Amino acid sequence: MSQDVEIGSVDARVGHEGTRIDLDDLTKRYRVGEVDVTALDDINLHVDEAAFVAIVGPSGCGKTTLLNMIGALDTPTSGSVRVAGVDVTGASQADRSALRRHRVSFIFQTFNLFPALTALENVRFGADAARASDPAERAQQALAQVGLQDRQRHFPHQLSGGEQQRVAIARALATGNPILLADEPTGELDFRTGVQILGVLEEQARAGMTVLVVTHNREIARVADRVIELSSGKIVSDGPPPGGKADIGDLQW
Amino acid sequence: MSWWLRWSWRDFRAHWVAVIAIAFVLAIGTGVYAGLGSTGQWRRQSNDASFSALEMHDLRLTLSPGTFIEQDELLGAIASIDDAGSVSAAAERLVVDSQVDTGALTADSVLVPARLVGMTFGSAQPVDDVWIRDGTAPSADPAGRSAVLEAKFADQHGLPPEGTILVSGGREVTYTGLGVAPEDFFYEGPEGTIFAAGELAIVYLPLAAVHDISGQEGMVNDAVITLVDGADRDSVAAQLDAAISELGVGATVSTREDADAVRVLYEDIDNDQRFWNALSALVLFAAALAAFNLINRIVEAQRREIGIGMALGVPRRQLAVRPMLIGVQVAVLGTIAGLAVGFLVGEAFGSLLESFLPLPVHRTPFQYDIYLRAAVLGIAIPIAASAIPVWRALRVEPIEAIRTGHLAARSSRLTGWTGKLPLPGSTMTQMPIRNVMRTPRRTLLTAVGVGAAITALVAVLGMLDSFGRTLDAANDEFTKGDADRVVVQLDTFHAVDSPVVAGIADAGAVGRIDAGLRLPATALATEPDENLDLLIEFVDLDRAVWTPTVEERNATSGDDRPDIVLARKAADDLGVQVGDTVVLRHPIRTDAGGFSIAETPLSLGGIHANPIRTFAFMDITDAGQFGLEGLVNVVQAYPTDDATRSDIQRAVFGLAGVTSSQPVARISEAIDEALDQFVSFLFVTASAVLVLALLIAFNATRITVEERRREHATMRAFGLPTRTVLGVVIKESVIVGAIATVIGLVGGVVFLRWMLASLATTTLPDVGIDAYLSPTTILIAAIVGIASVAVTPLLLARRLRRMNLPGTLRVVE
Repeated sequence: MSQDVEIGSVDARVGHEGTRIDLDDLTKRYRVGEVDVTALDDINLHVDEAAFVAIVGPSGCGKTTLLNMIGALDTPTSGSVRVAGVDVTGASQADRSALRRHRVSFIFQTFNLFPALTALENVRFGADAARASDPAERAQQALAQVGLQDRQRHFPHQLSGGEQQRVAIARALATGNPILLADEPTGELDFRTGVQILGVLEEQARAGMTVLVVTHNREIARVADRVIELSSGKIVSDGPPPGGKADIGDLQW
Repeated sequence: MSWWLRWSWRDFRAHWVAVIAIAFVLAIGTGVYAGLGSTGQWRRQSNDASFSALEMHDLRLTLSPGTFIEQDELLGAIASIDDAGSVSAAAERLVVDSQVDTGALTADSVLVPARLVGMTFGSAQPVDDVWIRDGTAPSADPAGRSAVLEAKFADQHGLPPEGTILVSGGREVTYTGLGVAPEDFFYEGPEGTIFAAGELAIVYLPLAAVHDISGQEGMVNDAVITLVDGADRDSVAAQLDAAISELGVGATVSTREDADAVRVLYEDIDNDQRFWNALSALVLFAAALAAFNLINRIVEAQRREIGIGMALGVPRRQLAVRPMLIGVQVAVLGTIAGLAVGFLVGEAFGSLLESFLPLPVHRTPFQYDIYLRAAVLGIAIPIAASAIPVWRALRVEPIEAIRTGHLAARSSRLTGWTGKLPLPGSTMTQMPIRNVMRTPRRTLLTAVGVGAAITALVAVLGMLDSFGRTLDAANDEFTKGDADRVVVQLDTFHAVDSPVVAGIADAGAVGRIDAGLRLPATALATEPDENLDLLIEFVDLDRAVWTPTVEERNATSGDDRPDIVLARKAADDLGVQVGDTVVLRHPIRTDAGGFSIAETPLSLGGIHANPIRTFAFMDITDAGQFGLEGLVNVVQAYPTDDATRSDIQRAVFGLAGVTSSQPVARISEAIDEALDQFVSFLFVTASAVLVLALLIAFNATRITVEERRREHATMRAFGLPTRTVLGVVIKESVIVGAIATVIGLVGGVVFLRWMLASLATTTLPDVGIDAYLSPTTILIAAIVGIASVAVTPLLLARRLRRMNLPGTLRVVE
């Protein structure tokens, strides 16, 4: 998973740092009307190696904001963010785009597939965006990885919710990026489909990726290697799941 | 109520750019409709009042060319008819051709054909009275030869309100004022075209003065008559025809509607109105589509809210109010602005009409009914356009409306087919094509909206192209061989070796002459009212310097009938082809030296290149068929190497037997100049339509960008730079723009053809104008339709760059 990438003017030889995430003293404040809202408050978080990390907490606790910071979709008010060895705290928009292109991939709660593209084309988009050398081949492989090779010519509206999310995962995998950020990936899905999706994500973590899953569902967090709990913008707990890592087959919600 | 207003205000604040842009488009449409719709009424009322004020004739008696009759004989004939009581007033006139030289008034002498109209000034019961625009009426003293000069001619040449001019024979005429008679509000020029201002000097003189100048003492050749209300005009005309025949002279009885001035001034109104109505309809149509697209998007954005409302049991009609209010905003703003635009357009056009039309009375009352219609259209169109997407949104089951992915689930059959279609390139290349095909109806609506504006643009520019090309063709044909050719018209028929012809040949500056004949004739059509007036020119087709270009020739002339060569327009209007027979009604010279009317079948031997229908050509050797063998009445004169056309004009001016001399190039120059005003007006229209097209294109693209914002955010989330995302948007816009351009070009050609067909039957029946789009017009259409639509996303680059990615990505569509 080691790649040399050119991010802005910095030659970021990420090497073994490809899956590493470092957040130091990270704070994010928004202004909503006349009110200042602190979404993240002095967060310190380090992910050293490939793992399946769950970020849990109630609505409005800052989970998605934290994910957006790591994915360079948003910028911090203070503190620093290093992803895959690259400091993106004060990076330009072009540098942050380059990071997203080559280091992180997203899975959204509402899938955000391109409705005009087929499943295969949606997946290929991920490879094209990352400027992979053989996007068509990579897209086929990624779609096969999520078990949808027989649905490649279907459009999103012809797929079930679970299939759409698997296409979204395949799209993220097709980028070849080492960090996968998933925001409530099972939020729109039923239990059975949700379990399938979690299985796919866990598999990626075992394959060497860092998978960060934001969820408000504590049951899901049980299958993670590490659970980070947020409350009011602060990390209130960080460690293995209480009671130990569960098997996906044991989950129920 | 206040609750709805508050919602409406919030929605307006969210969409104010689009609302105002569409309202502006609507304003132009309603403004053009109201403003230019009013001018039609103004023109009709002004024409009525002007013709009435000057007592325009109901009937006119015109003796055959070269025929004169003793004064009072025509009045006697009029008084002798059974329905003499139907005649309200009658006046005799002496109308003769001449030539005018304004050398005493301007540095550059103007030598043009002239028409001297001998008439009675200050009559208690005038007919075809002269409106004195500047100066005073002439004195009745024939020795004084005082006159009124036709105002448009004076304006064209910058002549003062009073002055002295020379007429044929070198006689001086002092004009005391500038004015116009009603039949001359518009008139035909010497070549039978209506573009004659400045090329024909009409001089109104007391009858005695024309007797004196023309040498036709005590003679007249024309009478104009007004009838009492309720008179049977056709019956009176027939009786007059019979009464004149008894006098033993040839004459025609024409009606008021036969006069060019009446035909052009009235028929032009309806024609122009059709053009403006069609143009405003196109703009209104584009505005309706723009409103439809906007409301559609707003309704889709509010879909979940509508669905929740439905789920909560809120009546559907109540849910429809909020999105409909956007349509109401567009309607109200557009209509208010449209009425203001209409007022301004009306004011501007009213002033233009006053300067363009030489009428004594101009009426410009506010047209309440037209403005009311415009307001109703302005209100109804956007509301109707809004109602469709609202109605469609409210037909959906609540659960469908609320469900995530409802929009994504919508797709056309085309999407399924195109999914199997392999497209080249990366997904960024494929996506614009896929997007366009996924929602073909939306694509088509957007393209048709832009296409409607391009249609208007192409039609207006196409008019310019078509006129320009026709003028060029006419000019090329007129000036072919020698642009300095001067056409010298003789007063009557002379022997080819007569002194007058010899005099022209021997005149200084004249290098060579070709003597020929011109004869008015009528080509008979199947229906009498479709007969064509022609000017037959007999040319020595073998030896003359200038001969017509024959584009299509009868290769196998099977009999000994003389060939005639017609314009394409004439042949088409008569429904004949080369080789067919054309029956010509024409004067034929009798042994006694007079003329009678004969009908001669002729073989159509070819089609000439001149687009003006009036011209027809025959070989001079066929003149014997008309009893004119060895006679000529027109001479083509060519200057010597060191002389100019003006030198020829001066040299032949004043020669006995010469009535006019006209450089042939001046005919096309005159047409060119006369069209300049029209052309500049079209340019103004084209510019306005161009702005509209850009506005609609911007709005359509803006809506598209709004609709795709989540997809754009997703692309950005995957690290694509803004320029790449912009590239995808631009490619999609280019496809939509290309479709719009094709629609616009096709629509424009259809609209142009329709306009030219209308013109062909009314305003310009004598000119064969083919629909033609120049490469420049096509390029402009492509620039507006494709380039401007493609460039529009650049205006939205900032919005894309500053997009709230996390917020947009979490939006549930």
